[in-house]
Amino acid sequence: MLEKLKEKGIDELYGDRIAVGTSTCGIAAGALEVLEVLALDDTKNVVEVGCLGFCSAEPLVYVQENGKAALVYRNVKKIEEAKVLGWFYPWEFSPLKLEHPELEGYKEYPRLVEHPFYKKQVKIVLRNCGIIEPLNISQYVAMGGYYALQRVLEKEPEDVIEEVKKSGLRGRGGAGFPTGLKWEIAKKNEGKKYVICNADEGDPGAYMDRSVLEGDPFSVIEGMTIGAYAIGAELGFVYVRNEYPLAVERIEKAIEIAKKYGFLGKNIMNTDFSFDIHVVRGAGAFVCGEETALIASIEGYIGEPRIRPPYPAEKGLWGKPTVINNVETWANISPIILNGWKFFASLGTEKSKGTKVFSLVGKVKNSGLIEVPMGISLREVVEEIGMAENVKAVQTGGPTGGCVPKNLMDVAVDYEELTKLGSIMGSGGMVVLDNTTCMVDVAKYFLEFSKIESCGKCVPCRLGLAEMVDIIERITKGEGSLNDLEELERLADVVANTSLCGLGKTAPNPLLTTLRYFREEYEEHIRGRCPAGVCRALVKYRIVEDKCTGCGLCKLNCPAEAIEEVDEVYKIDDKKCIKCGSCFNVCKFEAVERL
Amino acid sequence: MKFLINSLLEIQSKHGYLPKNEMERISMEFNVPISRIYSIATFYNAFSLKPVGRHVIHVCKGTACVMGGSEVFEDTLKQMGVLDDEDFTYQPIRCFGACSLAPVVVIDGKVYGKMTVSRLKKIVSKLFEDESKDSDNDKTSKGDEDAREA
Repeated sequence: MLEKLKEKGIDELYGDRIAVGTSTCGIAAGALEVLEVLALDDTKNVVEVGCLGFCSAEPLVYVQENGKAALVYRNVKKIEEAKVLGWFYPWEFSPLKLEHPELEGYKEYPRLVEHPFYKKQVKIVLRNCGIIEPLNISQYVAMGGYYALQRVLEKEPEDVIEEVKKSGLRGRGGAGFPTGLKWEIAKKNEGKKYVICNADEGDPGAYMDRSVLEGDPFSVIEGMTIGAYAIGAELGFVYVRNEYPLAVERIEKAIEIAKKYGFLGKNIMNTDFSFDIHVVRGAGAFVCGEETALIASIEGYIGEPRIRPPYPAEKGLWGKPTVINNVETWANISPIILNGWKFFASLGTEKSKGTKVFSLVGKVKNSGLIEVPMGISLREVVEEIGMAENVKAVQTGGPTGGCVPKNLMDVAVDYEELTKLGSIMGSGGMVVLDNTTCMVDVAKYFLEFSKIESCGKCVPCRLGLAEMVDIIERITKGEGSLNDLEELERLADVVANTSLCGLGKTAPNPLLTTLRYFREEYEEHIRGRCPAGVCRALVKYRIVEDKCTGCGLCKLNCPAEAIEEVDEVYKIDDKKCIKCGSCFNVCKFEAVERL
Repeated sequence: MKFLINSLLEIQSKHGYLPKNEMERISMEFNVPISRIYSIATFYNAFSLKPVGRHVIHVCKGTACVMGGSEVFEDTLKQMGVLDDEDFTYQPIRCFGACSLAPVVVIDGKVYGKMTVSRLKKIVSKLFEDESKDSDNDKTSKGDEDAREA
């Protein structure tokens, strides 16, 4: 059956088509409007695909016609007027050995793999994203899909676990626990077993799980099916954020399709093995990304973490051994099986193997989802791929990660090295900060986030974080003292060491790293000055009459109606001004002064 | 297989909130005490116990959006009188996963990337206009009925 699907998929993938990236990010950039116009021409085969990763170039459209490779247009409003980004062969991003007809390249345009954004990338998890139509199972098979499952079903479950163990794959959700070992523990425990896919991607600034579920849902389903076979589970769950409606829809539909073709359900691929997957939606609680809280949520309780041990692999969902892995981890499984553990283990560093997907956002020129080998330096990622200038720091690891300053950016990106600097890998958020960012404000933002998202079970996390927010707020108002810094460090120590789950344990990271690397900024605030001019209580704005041209852009952008026209120039009413800095940011003539 | 949270989410999206009688029905259906339904309804951000307005405005307060200046939109909405009432509901949200378009505002389900204060003001004033038109229309149609009755 696979061969038949593959043939159909190859015809579709390498035939004439115009593809529009319509993931959430593409849609927000206007991809549906572009799609509507393109679809009017019914002589063309217009299809929807997932995200090619280059979000700042969206909407992305590529045209593949007359036996030629795919030509990609960037920031498309009208295709006739759009600029060419480059061209690529639809198979060249995948690490798998694929059968495909030859396509002719372009001489007059650059190759996409030579573009700074793609040059250093190695795609395993994102191999199909933006290439295949997400819900087209033939195309998934044509890209090597379900051959891994076919091979696994002929093997002993122990051999599958051994393969994953040897590959060195570690959990991509943040903690980095060896995946094969987790499977082995679950396998050894008695009784009914479950597998869970953690797609409760609550980290603001990270969206790789969404992109994989939207762009390549079968890769997650196949990975889970292989995992279920290895540990002996018959039931699996995908726990996905409710804030990702498109991802929910895609994974639900993909499960139905996989069932129809016999890749899921009873007697998978005509063997004795049966496995089914249910989708459970999250309801907007960051803490549910923690595995025991997630399990509680599936069971129908509030998302409070439970004491570990016992770990879920011993006693998880409804007290049964449960393997819970992140979306990205599951998507890594079938390439490991197909290409062998040596292929995977040859990438990365000694302790961190393979690749990691990061969402590179913030003050960068090229933003989007990137997949790079572990061990690449942070500087390469930010300056070469992101082409960022004037970097001040990089915030990694989501709201409970830390800030790595510019001078330490040569650090190799892997689990251990980032931890040494006081940050974490986390699920792969990477927010680049420049000189317009106030580090105290950043720390305040993350502490507030953790305070709100703390489930409240452990007293140190619930009250300690609230106290820390109070103190740091005082500092941003210029009312802090040097003693406050010591108090913050003391509280951070208590919260980190006495909280039950990962949220409390890592919540002080943003504070501790900013205090460690940017202490002088805290001291400046205590002296009553915010160097970046962000903290509202410490700045004042004024319009310089001589420079004001009377264009009125500041008035249009003032949220507080604090700007009035007086004799053809504009003036700020200090009583109404909320010091947000909107006028400062929009003025094209540098007529707004920050004092 | 039925899941408590999924069922509650369906009610939330159908009514815009969790009505008491529906919560009681779910409590019977799943055979769990109503106190647990209440604890879930108040723990998770997706649920609300009172109806949401006709227009729902979300400002993203994820990292990339806040660093891109999304906090000022909250001030803008406040200044424009967008309150939690039957017309408008304002809810901050943590990340839509469209970070490269930061700052992001979502109005009635439509995602607006690279938002500015002036653009937001324009869109929201339009909603206000539509609302007042609607209420005018209500009045006129009611007036017509009165006339007919007379």
